[in-house]
Amino acid sequence: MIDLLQYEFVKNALLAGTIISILFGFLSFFVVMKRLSFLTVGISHAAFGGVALGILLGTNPYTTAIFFCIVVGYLISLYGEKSEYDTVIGILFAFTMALGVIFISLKQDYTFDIMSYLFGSILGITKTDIVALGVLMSVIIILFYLFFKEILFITFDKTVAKASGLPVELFENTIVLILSLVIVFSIKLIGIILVSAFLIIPSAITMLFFDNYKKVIFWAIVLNLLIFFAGFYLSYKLDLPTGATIVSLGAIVYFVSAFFKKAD
Amino acid sequence: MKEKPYILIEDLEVRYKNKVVLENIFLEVNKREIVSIVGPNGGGKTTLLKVILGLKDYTKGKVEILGKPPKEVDKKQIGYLPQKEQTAKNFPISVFETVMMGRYPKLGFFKKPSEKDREIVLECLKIVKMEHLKDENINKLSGGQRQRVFIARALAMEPKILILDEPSTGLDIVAQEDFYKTLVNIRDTKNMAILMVSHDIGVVSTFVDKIACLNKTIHYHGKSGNPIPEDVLKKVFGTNIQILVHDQHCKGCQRGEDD
Ligand SMILES: Nc1ncnc2c1ncn2[C@@H]1O[C@H](COP(=O)(O)OP(=O)(O)OP(=O)(O)O)[C@@H](O)[C@H]1O
Ligand SMILES: [Mg+2]
Repeated sequence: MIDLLQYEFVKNALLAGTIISILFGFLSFFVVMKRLSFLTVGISHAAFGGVALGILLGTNPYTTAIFFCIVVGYLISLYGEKSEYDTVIGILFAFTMALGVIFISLKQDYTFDIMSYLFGSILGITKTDIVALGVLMSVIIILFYLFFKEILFITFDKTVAKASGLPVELFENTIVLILSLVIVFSIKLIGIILVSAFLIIPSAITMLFFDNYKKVIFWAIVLNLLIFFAGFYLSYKLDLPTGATIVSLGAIVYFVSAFFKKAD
Repeated sequence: MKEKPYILIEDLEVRYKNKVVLENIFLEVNKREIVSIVGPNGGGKTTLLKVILGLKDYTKGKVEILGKPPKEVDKKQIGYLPQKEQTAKNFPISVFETVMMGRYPKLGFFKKPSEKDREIVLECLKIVKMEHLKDENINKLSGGQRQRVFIARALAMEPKILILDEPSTGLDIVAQEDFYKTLVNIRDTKNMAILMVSHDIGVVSTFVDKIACLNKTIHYHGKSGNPIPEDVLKKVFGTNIQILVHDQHCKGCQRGEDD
């Protein structure tokens, strides 16, 4: 792997991957506990509609993707209260993908590479992306550090947290915003289709082995880093697409762990 | 001068959509008082508690909690045990840490629990007789043990008002008796006002200060300053007090049409 480091794009990809692994490992605990797995699927697929709109308008696709993800995130919160969350996500997820297909069909010349958005393209990661990711990670970590006990209470028991005066709605809106941002910022590395797996798998695995949230979160981060580096190396050795290799590796680790975990 | 009641409700009306579920409610709970609400399923007990907690809006009347409307009151002063536990499934956390959460609102932002908080948590665990399981994961507890942990968490808030929605659910008979004794004890030592929903009137009526019989509206108010005469109790609850009875003796306290 050392020899790889002479390439600028490899360094960038590894740096971005490190940041994303830490961030996703950490956030996955809240995604799993608050049952937001499908929400992350909905938000990430909304990015497709956003990217397509950006391409159609000739603007930066990531800007329109962020906009799309946040809007969809809030529509899910809003309509989820009225019907079932899964129902709303199922509809919006298809709708934003459909919009994406329509936008792309309206664009006459096919000079762009839609596959790189869907499945990631680590070659495209720039210094600017890394700085953006670094800033995003710092903000999120500071927020969670400062309000960790309140966030923990809300995640654990929303009703009583609310009755005790904690700002439950504010937190829930913030988490949708945070998830939208981290998803869009990770599209280059992992791709729209695969990104949500990265937000679910780490804690899904560590939940099998640890019965305390501190350990679950800590080991989810460590494990996510391991999966990322191993997947990255494998994809280079076997000449496979990076994002797909990493996600497949994570999924295999999950199923193997779950298989060997003894039922109580 | 008489101190203001901790909970004061006058002429309250509450609806879900257009359906009136509570009306003409008058209720007063004072410092150092235990009030129990009894009544049939669907009578509106949980709804009344939610109004007090500011979790449900009302359409008419006056509600004052510690002298303020429910939405403006300092929530740290109110401990709550919901009827149905709505915690995240399989949340990996110990008994001790769960009860410690009760301290979080009091602590405020940016503060970490101190030694004092730990002592309070341990004391609350002792009260519910769960200190031997303090390091156990809460998902490995039985239903009744879990209930005790959540009671301990509400106690750990050291609130002025304690709101308990069917706290004895899942407690065995010995634990129930212990629990009620504990309530009397904390009422006296911590000067709390306790409002709880309960179905075991037989037990409850012996130690609470007031019983409010709720079925859309409150039908009976017993005050223990002049203790509830036995014949009145009999009238209200019938002779067979094991079952929650709203029989012909219970004046104006008919069951809803649909049950
Ligand atoms: N979220 C809701 N939406 C619509 N109606 C509701 C809702 N919650 C309660 N109700 C109605 O309000 C009435 C009172 O319900 P509530 O839960 O307060 O009863 P309860 O006295 O606590 O009953 P139980 O003994 O079963 O706990 C019932 O008729 C119920 O159908
Ligand atoms: Mg109820």
